[in-house]
Amino acid sequence: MSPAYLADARPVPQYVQPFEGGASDWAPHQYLRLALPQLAQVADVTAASWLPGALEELRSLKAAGVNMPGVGDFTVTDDTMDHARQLLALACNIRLPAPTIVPFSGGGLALTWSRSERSLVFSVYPDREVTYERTNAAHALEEDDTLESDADLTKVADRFIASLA
Amino acid sequence: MRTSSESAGLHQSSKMDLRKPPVVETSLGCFFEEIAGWNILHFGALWARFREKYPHAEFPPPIIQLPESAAPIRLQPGNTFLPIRALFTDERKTQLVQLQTNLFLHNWRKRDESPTYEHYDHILPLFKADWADFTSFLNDQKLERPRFARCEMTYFNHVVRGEHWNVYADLPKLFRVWRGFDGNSIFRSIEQAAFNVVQPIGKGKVNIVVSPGVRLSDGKEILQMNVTATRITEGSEDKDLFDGLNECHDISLQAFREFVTDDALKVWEA
Repeated sequence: MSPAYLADARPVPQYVQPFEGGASDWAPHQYLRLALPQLAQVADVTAASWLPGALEELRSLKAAGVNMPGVGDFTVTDDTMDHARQLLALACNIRLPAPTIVPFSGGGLALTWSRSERSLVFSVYPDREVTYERTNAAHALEEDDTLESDADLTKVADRFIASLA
Repeated sequence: MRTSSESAGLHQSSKMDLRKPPVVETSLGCFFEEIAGWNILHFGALWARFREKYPHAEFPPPIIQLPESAAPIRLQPGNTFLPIRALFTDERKTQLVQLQTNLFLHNWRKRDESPTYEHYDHILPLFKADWADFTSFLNDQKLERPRFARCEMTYFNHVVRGEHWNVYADLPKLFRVWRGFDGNSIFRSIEQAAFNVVQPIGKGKVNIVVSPGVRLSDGKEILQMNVTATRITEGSEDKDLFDGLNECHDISLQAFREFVTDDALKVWEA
C-alpha cells in the first residue's frame, strides 16, 4: 500500500497573504504575496528590490564608522542600526523608492527618499528618536516633526507619495 | 523543543531539549473542506464561547492557498477565495486560536513579556480543548463536522544575524544542507540566500524554508527558518487528528535535528 503522502498528489501547501498597504497601493500581484499562518511580522528582504542593497549599505556604514576628533563621531550603534532597519522594512510595504543612507555626526543615520525634486528625510538618532522632514519641488519645507509611531511613518510616506502625483 | 510521543512509528524517537531554542512561534492544527452553512455570524457566536479564554479578537488578512488550477478569481470578502480569518487571543497574547472557513489552528508566540518557550506537550492539550469547544459549537449549530484535508504543525525559528551568524559564509556552521563556497569562488561573499527543502518522512512530509528577513518588532536581520510538517489524516475522528499532529510534531523535530548542525544545536544549548 502506498504511503499516505504519495497518495496526496497536491503540491506542498502554498499560502498567500494580502498586501497590507494603503488602498491606493493595492494591486493583484501584491495581494497574492506568499505567506504563512504566522503572526510575527517579518519583512521579506525581497519585498522591495532596493532593500538588500540598503541593508548591505547599513552594514558598510557600521563597519566604516569612525570617531574623527574635530570632524565628528560617525560611529553607528547597533541600536541605531536596528531602528534604521525597522524603518527601511516598514518602508518596503509603502512602496517608496530606493533611499540613500548617510551617517551624520553624533552617531545618527539619515534615510532619504527623493523623487521629482521632492524629498522625505528620516533622521534616526542614537537615543531612538526619529524625526522627519518633507520638502516640495521648490525644496521648501512642507512638514517636519518627530515620528511617534509606525503609523506616523505610513501617514507621512503616504503624503510624500501623494505629492508626487 | 521536546516530545516523548511514540505514536509516529518513525525510526528514531523524537526528543530534544534546547535551553535557548530559536523558535519564536508555533502553529498546529488542521485544514478542512469548507463547512456547509458556515457564515460570518458564526464567528461572533463562536467567540462568545471562546471569550473567557480568549478575550481579544482580531480579523487579519486571510491565509489563502493558491488554487491548483487556473480559475477565474472573484475577490469578495467571505467568498471561497477570500475567506474571513479570525484570531481569538488570550490575555497574555501568547496563545491564540486562528479560525477560517477552512482551517483551525492554535498558535503559541513568544512575547517580550512571556519569552519562555512553551512545549508541544503543553500546547497540544490547549489545542484539544479549543477543538472540543469548536466541534461542540458546530454540533449545537447543526453544522457538519469538518472533513479534514490535512493536519499541520509549523515551527517558526529566527536565526539572528550578529548573534547566531554574521555573514553567509557562516551558514555551513548552521545548516547541513548548505556547504558554502571556497574563498576563490565568485560566490565567496553572498549578499543574500534562501533555500527550501521538501522531504517525505514517514507518512507525512516536511517543508523547510530558510529565507532572510527583517524582524519588524526590533529591526534585527534574521534568517527565518520555517519547519512545516504536514500529514493527511487517516480518518475523520478526533483521534485521527491528534495522532496526525503527534506525527507532524515528531516529523518536525526529526527534520530540525537533521537539518541543522551540531554546532548550531550547541549555540541553542541542546
